[in-house]
Order: sequence, then C-alpha cells, then structure tokens
Amino acid sequence: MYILGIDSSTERVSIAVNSDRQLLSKVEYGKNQNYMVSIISLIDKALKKANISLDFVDLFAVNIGPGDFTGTRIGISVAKTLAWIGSKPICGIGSLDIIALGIFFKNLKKIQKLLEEGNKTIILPVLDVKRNEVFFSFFKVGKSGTGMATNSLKSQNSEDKHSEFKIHNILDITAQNKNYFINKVSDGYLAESKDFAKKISALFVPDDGFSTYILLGGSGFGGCNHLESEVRELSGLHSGSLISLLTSIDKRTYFPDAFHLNLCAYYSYLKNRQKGPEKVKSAGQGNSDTSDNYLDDYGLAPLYVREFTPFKK
Amino acid sequence: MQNNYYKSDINILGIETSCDDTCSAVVQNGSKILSNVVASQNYIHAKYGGVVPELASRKHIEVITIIIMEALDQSGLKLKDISSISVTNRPGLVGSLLVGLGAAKSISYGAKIPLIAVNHLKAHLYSNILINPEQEGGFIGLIVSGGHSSLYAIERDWSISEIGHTVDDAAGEAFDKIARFLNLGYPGGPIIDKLAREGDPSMIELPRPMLESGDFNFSFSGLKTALIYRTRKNPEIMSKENIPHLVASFQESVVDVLVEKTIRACLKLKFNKILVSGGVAANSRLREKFEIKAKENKIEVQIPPIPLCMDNAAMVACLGYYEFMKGNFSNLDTDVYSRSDI
Repeated sequence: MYILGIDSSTERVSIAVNSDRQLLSKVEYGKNQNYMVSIISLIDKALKKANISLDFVDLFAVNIGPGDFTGTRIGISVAKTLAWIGSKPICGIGSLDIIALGIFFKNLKKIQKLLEEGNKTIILPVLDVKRNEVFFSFFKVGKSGTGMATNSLKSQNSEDKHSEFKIHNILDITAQNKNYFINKVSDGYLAESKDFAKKISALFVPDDGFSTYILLGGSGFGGCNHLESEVRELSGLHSGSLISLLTSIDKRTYFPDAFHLNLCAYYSYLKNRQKGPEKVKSAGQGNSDTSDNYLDDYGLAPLYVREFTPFKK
Repeated sequence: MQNNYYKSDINILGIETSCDDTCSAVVQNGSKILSNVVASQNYIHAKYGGVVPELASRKHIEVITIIIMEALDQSGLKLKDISSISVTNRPGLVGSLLVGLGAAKSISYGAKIPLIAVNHLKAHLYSNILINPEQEGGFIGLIVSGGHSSLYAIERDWSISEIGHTVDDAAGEAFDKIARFLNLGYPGGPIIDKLAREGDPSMIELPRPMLESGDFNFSFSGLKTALIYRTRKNPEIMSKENIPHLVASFQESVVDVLVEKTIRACLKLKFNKILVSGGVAANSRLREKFEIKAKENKIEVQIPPIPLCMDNAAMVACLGYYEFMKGNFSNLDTDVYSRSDI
C-alpha cells in the first residue's frame, strides 16, 4: 500500500511516500518557505523520488495540527482534494500523535529495556504553541498482550474536562518482530510553559512501586528555553515518594516528520479496516475512539489548541 | 440533470473563497451555468457584526471539498469533462484565498486539468455575461460590496482600468457598521434595505459625501460619523418608529452618491452602458434609482440577478472561460495576494 503524507504544520514542510511501513522517499523544505508556492512541486518531487505516480497512492495522510494555521490549512486543503479526485481514503493525524510515534521509534532500544524491567513508560510530546504556552498529551507504551494499561493520570479536579478522558489505543505497532501498543491516555493539555513541570507532576499518581519513565520531545524544547530545566527538576519533585520519575528529552523529534505521519496513517488504516466497512465520519469533538484519526472524511479540518473567540463588540 | 455534452464544449470549474462564502460552480462555454453552489457563513459572523477573517478560513477549510464535489455533482459532469479550473487568487483575505487555491491546484495537478488563477474584481465585471452572452465591452462597471466600492472603465476590447475607489469604508461595510450601531443585526445591507422601505428618506438630512469632489472616488466613513453625531444630538431619532426613517435617509445618501457618480463617469468618458455588481447591487433602492437615472440620461444599466451580484463561483468560471480561450493559464506555484490591481 502506497501512502503519501503531507506535513506542512511547521516551518519545515515534510512530504513522504511510504510503501506500507517502508519509507520510499522524503522531501523536506526549510524555513521561510512559502507553502502555497511550493507544495505541489514538493509533492511531485517526493512521488518522482519514490518512482510512483499519484494514481498509485492508496492512502493520503496529513498532519491536522495543532500547528501553523496557514501551513496546516494548505496541507489539509491539498491532501483532501487529492484524495477526493483519486477516490482514495484520507487520514488526518494530530501533531502530538506523530511526534509520539517519532519518539517511540527513535528510542526503541531504550523502551524495550524499560519495559523488560517492568517500568511504566510514558511518551510525552510537547508542542510550542507560542505565547509561552505548550500543548501536550500523554501516551503510554506497552507490549501487546499485556492488556490495556490503566490510567496512571489522576484528574485534577471535577471541572477538568480531561478527567473524563477515555483511554484509547491509537496504534498497535510491530517493531523488531515484537508487538507494542501506544495508547493515548490523556486529552491534549494546554499550559503555560512555566507551569509545565508542576502540571505534569500533579498528574501522576504514586500508585505502585515501579518507576515511571517519561520520554519527552517536540518543538516545546526549542521554543521555550526554560522548559528543559523545568523537566530536569521533575525527577527531583518526586524524590521523596516511593516512585521515581525519570525523564529524558529527545531533541531529534523537534518537528513532526512525514515518515512518522505515514506510519500513524498506516496503523490507523489497518485498525479501521479490521473494524469493518463502516466509515469513520465527522470531525466531532470529544473523546471518542476516533477523535484523532479520520478516514474517508472530506470534511477534515485542523485541530486547534483552543476555540477562536474574537473580541465581541 | 441531463446535459447535452459535446466534445467541443468548454466546461470550467470555478472556485471562489476570497471572503466569507465558499463557492464552486460549473459553467459551460462561458455563459451556461450548470451549477452554482454557495455556502454562506453569515450565521458565523452575525454575532460579531462583520466578517472575522480567522473564523472565515476555519469554515472554508471544513467545507471546501464538499462544496466542490457538490458543484460537480449538480452539473451532471465528471472531472474528465472539465476543461479548466478557474480560481480566485486575488484580492481577498489571504487565509480564505489559500484554501480555495490549494484545492484548485490539487485538482489541476491530480486530474491534469489546466489552472487559471483570476482576479475577483475582474470576475465581478464579467458576471453579466452569464445573463447576456452577447455582452460587449465598452461600459462603466461599479463594484460595490462589503469589501470594495470601485468604478472601472471597460473598453470595447475588454481592457479594464480603475477610475475611482473608496478612500475609506466600502459601501457594504458602512451598511454593516450602521446596522451594528443601531443593533439591527448582520449583514446590514438586506436588513436596512427592508426597514428603509417603510421609512421616509427625506426625514433626516445627511450629507452626500464626495459628490462634488471632481473625481470618481467615494467615501462612506464620514457619512457614518455624521449619522452617529445626529443620533447623539437628537436621541429620539433612534426610537423604534424613527429607525426606518433614519436608515432610509442613510441608504438614500449612499445610493445617491453611488448612482450619481457612476452616471457622471459614464457620461464624461462617453460610454452608454453601466454594469453594477457586488453584494450591495442587491439593494432594491440602488437598483430602482439606477433605473430611473439611467433612463433620464439614456444610459443602459445592467444589474445581474442577486445571486450573481453576490460573491459566486459562476462569475469566476465565466472569466476563466475567456482566459482559457486566450490561453492564459497559471502555473502550480501561483500564490495568493490580499491586494491586487485589476
């Protein structure tokens, strides 16, 4: 199955072509690039490099944000139109999911070791959403067959809409002949970057003696200078309790990557195919099982960190 | 829908997202409208009393593909029957334009159909061809809407030059602002139009801004201020029974200036035809007054039916047809522009 993935949600446009899990080609374009001008030629370049024509693409994937408004819109507009004219499915994936998968693959050895030792392993992608705010979400990694892990996050208070979050399995992954799951165990959180560490430590329940290991990444560690030192202090915050909280920051996952986007889309597609012919519809808000991955939906729209409310006269 | 489709027919798919309406249409041979779909966003912007650009682009991106699918569906044609994609890429709200252009480029690239990027204002000047395919050049064009109030001279060879424009608010913008000031709702144009029918336009005396300015420019900001000052001086003119008189007087002033200056331009530049387009061309008093004044001056006035005066993709497809015949195609690296000369 050929997958064309378009990620124009950051200042680095990334377009990749996959054959199932295998990357065939990737084209990236750097800063100060005018997305509108270059996007079609970049797609064309990626397809030519992969040596396939557009007609061969079986699945279109696009990063639906949160991210740069202009870039994300251009990417979605282009991707869903291409999907429509080719009568192919389209899969919209959120930035956090893509970065989470990036962190997973780039730290696979470490994760394998952590899981074998019985540690809880959390992936925490953090997006810099400007104005000193960060947007993040927790993903739990485990070996398949160990069952759906329980929610290790406690709700902060009853008004917190995130407290009702239903864990959902975003991906079942096969890596090095072993099966893993990545479960999204929280909704997206928006926080001021200075409150980041406080917010995270408040979310963990010291419920057992095992260590929790948090792998962090994402643009938050480029855009917000003090975030890194905040995170370094995290382990210290828990030193008095029974559990130990360990962190590591992976700066290679600064940007979402179209290859990881394609992988997300591939695993989503497999999962939706198993579910049967019923199409996943509507970009409905909420914590439904399908809130992040939409297939066959030409109404696909960007994810935003908050509703836009203009000043009311 | 049954269409007689011949190989020689030129079918243009039009896409227009320059402001707050998501539009797509299919037009055959420059004048036969096979479909004309408009998704209005009025309900979204109503509570703010004007178009909020960020909200407009959020809505465009949701519906764009569905609207294009609908236009193609209603036309009874398939993508393979489409000769060219015509899309508005200037002038307008950048966040809105790029949604339409992104979609148009993708169709062009994916279905291998040539792309034509057109000017929104020029498309308005072509809108009457959809009613009268024999329409010839050689007229004065008035485009009057929420975003524009400009006068153009269209020569016999269809070369276009701007001869005047608003120096501040567009006429439609003034209608919206007055409606907001009087808490009448949004969009202001149709609401004021309706209320004014029960009012006496001579009850409150308002200026006729820039009528004697000697050029063909407009200004509506001062008129709005004049009205607001009048209501401060005499708060009773804002009473429920006086509102129709107040808005009728305001509307009369706007209409007088628009009609008078357009007629003068037509006479001075020795044309004998006027075309009016844009959202404000839906105003019943403007239509009425143009008819009266044109008759007096032996000038022919053409105002397309309301759906074709408002933003629509049929006019974009119509202009696209003429660009197609001239071979004026656009590359896939075409950009969007918030401002542009015609």
